[in-house]
Amino acid sequence: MKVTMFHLMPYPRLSDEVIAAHDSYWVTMPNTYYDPKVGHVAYNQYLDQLELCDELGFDGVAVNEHHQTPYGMMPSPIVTASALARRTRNCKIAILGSAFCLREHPLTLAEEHAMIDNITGGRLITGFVRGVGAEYTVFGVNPVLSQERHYEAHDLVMQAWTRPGPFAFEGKHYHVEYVNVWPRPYQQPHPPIWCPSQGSNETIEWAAHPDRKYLYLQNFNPFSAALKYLNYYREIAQGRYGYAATSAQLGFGAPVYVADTDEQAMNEAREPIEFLFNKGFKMPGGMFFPPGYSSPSSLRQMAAAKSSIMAARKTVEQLAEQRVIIVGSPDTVIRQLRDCHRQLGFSNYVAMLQFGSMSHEMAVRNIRRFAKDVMPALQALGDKDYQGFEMPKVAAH
Amino acid sequence: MKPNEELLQVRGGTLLMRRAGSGPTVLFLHGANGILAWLPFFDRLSDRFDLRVPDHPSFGGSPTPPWLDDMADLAYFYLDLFDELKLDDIHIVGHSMGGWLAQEIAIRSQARIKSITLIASVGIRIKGDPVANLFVMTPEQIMHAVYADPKLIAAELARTLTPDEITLITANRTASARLAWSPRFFNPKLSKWLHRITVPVQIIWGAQDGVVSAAYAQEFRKFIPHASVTVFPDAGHAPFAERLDDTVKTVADFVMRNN
Repeated sequence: MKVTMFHLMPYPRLSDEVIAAHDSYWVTMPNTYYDPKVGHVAYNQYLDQLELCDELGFDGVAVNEHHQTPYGMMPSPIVTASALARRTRNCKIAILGSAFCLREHPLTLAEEHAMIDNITGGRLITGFVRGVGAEYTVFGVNPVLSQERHYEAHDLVMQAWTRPGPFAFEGKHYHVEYVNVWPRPYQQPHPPIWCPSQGSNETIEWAAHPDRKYLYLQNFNPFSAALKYLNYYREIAQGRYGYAATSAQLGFGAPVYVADTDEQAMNEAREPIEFLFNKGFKMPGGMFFPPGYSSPSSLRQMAAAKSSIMAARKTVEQLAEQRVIIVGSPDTVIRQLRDCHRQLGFSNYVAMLQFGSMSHEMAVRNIRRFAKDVMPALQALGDKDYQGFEMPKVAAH
Repeated sequence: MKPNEELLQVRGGTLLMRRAGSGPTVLFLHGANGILAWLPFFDRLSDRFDLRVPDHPSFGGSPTPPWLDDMADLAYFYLDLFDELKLDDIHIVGHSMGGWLAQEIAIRSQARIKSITLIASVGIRIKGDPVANLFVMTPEQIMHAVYADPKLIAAELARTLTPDEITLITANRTASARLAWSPRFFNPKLSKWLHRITVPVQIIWGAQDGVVSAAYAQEFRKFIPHASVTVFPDAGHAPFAERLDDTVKTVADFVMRNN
């Protein structure tokens, strides 16, 4: 199993009073609360943390994209990935992901990803995401067309990377007369593609298609949801597409915190993780689930999965119980992740080791502890440690 | 009176047409919320008119036709529908997004249109005075924007929606987002073309409309100078709900005068 450190790069916390005074942590939280001096320090600490992960033997470091929110300060993951490109030596750099379909011209992102892949000599992993619902309020891109644009932007980018140019791309949403990207990606035919998701049947069905077989990464959900969705991938692969999906196509992500004892870990993780889950997702329901963003059935499932982590105030105990997060002594964390892998069978674990309002010192302590006492056991896991997949009697197809 | 309901097949689109009453033809074009119930307003109009109340294609749970991308597509669809049904001398009453649709139809052809009534219509933009973001607002915020009467707001909020209603509301929300997500509820080019509307136009507004402010009533007159304007106090975005008698009388008198 490969282990990747994922960062959201949150703005160091706003006060409870400020958050309470505004109805959303996303899109409309006034940027007058952003202090550039605080931001400067935070960006550099966060980059230090990711660079440390490279030194400590992580297989990858990951950045992501969100807009107009203190939840994550990476409107362009290209910038953070570029900063990491020359300061890391061995680890993969995963952009989880770029919201290609939010752009009027996804080719610019295709060019930028290719540049990072060339500079790093092929250490780039490209994530294709649609962005969370709130992003559609920021950009004005129609959420009803999100899925269509996502697929079409993907086709444009993949053709730009793999098809000899110049050629014309004649789509419904994107029409480009001259596609002829310089540089081409370093990795041939293209960088590995990951699909991080909150849990969407359409995304799984698309990622699992034999033409793609992309890695599907389930993030930030109760373990029960991860179980359902990762198994759905295997089910669709076998039932609809007639092949057995491998663990190489599946990833599992969860924040993780390690300390000497379970009790100490819980106590230390409490404040930052409860901040993330109780404040960080604050936004009107219509912003989180804009109309048409997902099919009605997917929307119901996502809403159910999310409501269990968003509705009521969450405690670290509840989050740990549902395994939305993994918290404890090294033994506990290893045991739990081994059990997750035994049931899910995934090739990549994406660990968020800094979360919410966690200080730099605490994050570094967590990273070092995890790297020393947990990671080697995880990196030794493989298919032999997976219980295997059994097709349900009434399978999806 | 219960309307007669008929499923019409026009240009690969299915359209539910409700029809009641007899007299001059009045076509009601619904807004972003769609038709959730047969309203007293419809009953009253059907006392005097041949009232037609369709669900726009993609609304009311109908499938989205492959040709439907924007309001222009919907406008041409209605022109096709008028041809198909051989409808003439139509008095259009368009509410909110339906008012926008009425304008998009009329700038393309008024050949079969006799008059237009715009009720709390969207379609254009006054800089600095946007249409409320119904896609993001909570049900509480929406009710306060739509209605002026606190008792009505409280009653609406106290009502429990059935699963069918929720499904219908979700479908209509998606259908209206397809057409009006961005720019939100207006067409930046429409005001350049509104001078083409020469049939009689009247504009009706609720003074306390929290969805589209009553300033829009006067703004529309800049582009359609021959339009008459009636603003009801004590009414919000649905004056036909809060000032039923007055709205019926204003619409009916205008239709009769121009028939």
